Amino acid sequence: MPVEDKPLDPGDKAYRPAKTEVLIVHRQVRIGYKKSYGGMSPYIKGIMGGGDARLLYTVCENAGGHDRGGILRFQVPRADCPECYGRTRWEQLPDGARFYVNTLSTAVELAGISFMDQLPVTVAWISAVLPGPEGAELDTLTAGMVRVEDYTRLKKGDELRPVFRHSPRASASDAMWVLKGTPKEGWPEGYVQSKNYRV
Amino acid sequence: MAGSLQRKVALVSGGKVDYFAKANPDLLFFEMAMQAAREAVADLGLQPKEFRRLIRERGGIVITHFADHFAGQLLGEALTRDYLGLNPAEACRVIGGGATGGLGVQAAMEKIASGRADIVIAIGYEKMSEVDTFQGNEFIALASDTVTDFPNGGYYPLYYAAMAQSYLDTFVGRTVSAGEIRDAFSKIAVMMRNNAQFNRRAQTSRENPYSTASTSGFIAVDDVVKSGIVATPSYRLDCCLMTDGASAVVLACEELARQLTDQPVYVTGIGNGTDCMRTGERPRTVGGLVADGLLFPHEREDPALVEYYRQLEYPGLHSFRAGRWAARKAYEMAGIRGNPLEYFDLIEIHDAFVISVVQTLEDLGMAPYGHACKLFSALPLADGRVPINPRIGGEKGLYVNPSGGLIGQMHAVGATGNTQAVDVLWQMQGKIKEKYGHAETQVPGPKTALFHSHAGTGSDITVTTVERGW
Ligand SMILES: [Zn+2]
Repeated sequence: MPVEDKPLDPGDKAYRPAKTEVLIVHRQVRIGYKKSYGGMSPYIKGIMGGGDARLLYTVCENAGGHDRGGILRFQVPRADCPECYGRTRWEQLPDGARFYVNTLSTAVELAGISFMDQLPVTVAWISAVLPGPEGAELDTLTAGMVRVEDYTRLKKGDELRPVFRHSPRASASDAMWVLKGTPKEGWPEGYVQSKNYRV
Repeated sequence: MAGSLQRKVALVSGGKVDYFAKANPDLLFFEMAMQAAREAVADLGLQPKEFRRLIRERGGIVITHFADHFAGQLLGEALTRDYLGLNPAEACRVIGGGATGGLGVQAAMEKIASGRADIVIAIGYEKMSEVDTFQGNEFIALASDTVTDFPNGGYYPLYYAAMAQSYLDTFVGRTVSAGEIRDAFSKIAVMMRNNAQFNRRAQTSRENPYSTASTSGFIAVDDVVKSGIVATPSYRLDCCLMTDGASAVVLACEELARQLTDQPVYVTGIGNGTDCMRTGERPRTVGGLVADGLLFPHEREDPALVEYYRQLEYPGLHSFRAGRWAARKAYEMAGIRGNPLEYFDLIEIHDAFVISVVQTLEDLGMAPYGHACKLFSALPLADGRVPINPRIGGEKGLYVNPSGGLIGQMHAVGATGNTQAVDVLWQMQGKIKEKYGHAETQVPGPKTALFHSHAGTGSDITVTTVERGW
């Protein structure tokens, strides 16, 4: 962990509230990690596919081991079931799956350092509904960044479609979201449509 | 027996850093802790030498701080107890996001209730100013899932704002109007900020030498909306502070408490609840409150309310199940069966954002879900200001955050839950004029109180109930 200390630039007005004569340094710390996605790796690999990207989720069919009975489907995938402690099974969301805004917010003025240059940033909590007569909704929501022309008009219930980073970074942000039917010009820069999910 | 205290536990004294500050470069974190501990010990009338001997021979230490990243120092608790001359007494650190301070105070209670210690000092601190605000926001956001949520815009005010949006989508047009709710939010922001003007140590107090003109002083409801949107639908003045500060509270068993003070405040109930860190993974069960047995006794006696709750999706993204669970455990332990709005005289709750006040009063059973904002929208305005420290809920109601809370007084994460315990203790001991420098927010003769600490978007929540012991 390289640590580099040097006296604080006297021109730095942002941090001079001291009432006594104290010494302040500017400290730069750099940390590198080798970060494994472990049992979630298939999900990240799936959204790294660009034009071939896939959205994977996990399923546990051990209804008897679940608090409310019934099958559990995890949109943010878990390799293990939190209720029956069994191993889950991977599935792919089909093109016919539908995605809806459950809730959302747009960071307008402030954000974490990773997003400070990208404001406004809209994040939605998204539900996924499987095609077919039962139209089962996955039990959990996923959080995803949404690119829309006017964030003030996006609301609960709006239908979204995923787009994927053309040059993936192995991050959950390799998938982003746009309103269903958004023309290509409205997609976030560097993101493409997957053949598995038409916008 | 599960769910009870094996021995009586009392809060006997408390202390705080001299001034909460957005940035206090004059003090190292353990020097802030010293100011808080020094005050708590002095209030007991003990010499530090006597106090340290008591802690060594009959007691222990709990130290809380949240993010090692902020100070760039791991095991800061060891440096803190070294600085306070408390070695080789038993000590531990307790941590749980924003509930860190509250969990630490409860851990201290457990040490005494179990008989492991007769006296414990719980100390909380955080120094948040040594990184810039964007970096600080990012450190806090690292307490969200770093695989999924953090890379997608990770920023806590946004996570909260999305829950606020869910609250609006769930209740506006059903129990409340959009105008009524915004009115309540602005009045809550004004109430917290203006209460803090009678607390000279508060970060936003004009009397605090570390405050700046632009971030201190009284505000009016118009100022809230003019402050600009941080993350939709939340305004800047809807949000809590980020603070450098420390706090300490001394707790003791009944026998020792009676020797140390004429004004012990006894713990009657402690509760702690949890929920998924990823808010999108929380249950969205229609009727979940009823199906999961989460109603309080006074709610179960109201058939119309039970019927309403049978139709309500719970907790969804609008409410904190962890808070309800914590309150249920605490109320059961304390034997509270009536309406807690009427039972308690005073509460200090974790107002991370104005919406949290509304959500928390509902989680605590003080108003039906979707209705708590009416308790605040009903407050009268004069020159755009609500009265100082108004009683909430009418004649039978209670006082909420006379200290100014996280919005007006401080939010130095690892200290916050601890500070709330100190504020409640000082209220019950009638020390507000002495400690705040003003008597305006002294609650008249409080006998029962509650303090509440909250992490993440409700992943860990503590509720502690207390009563006057004299
Ligand atoms: Zn299972």
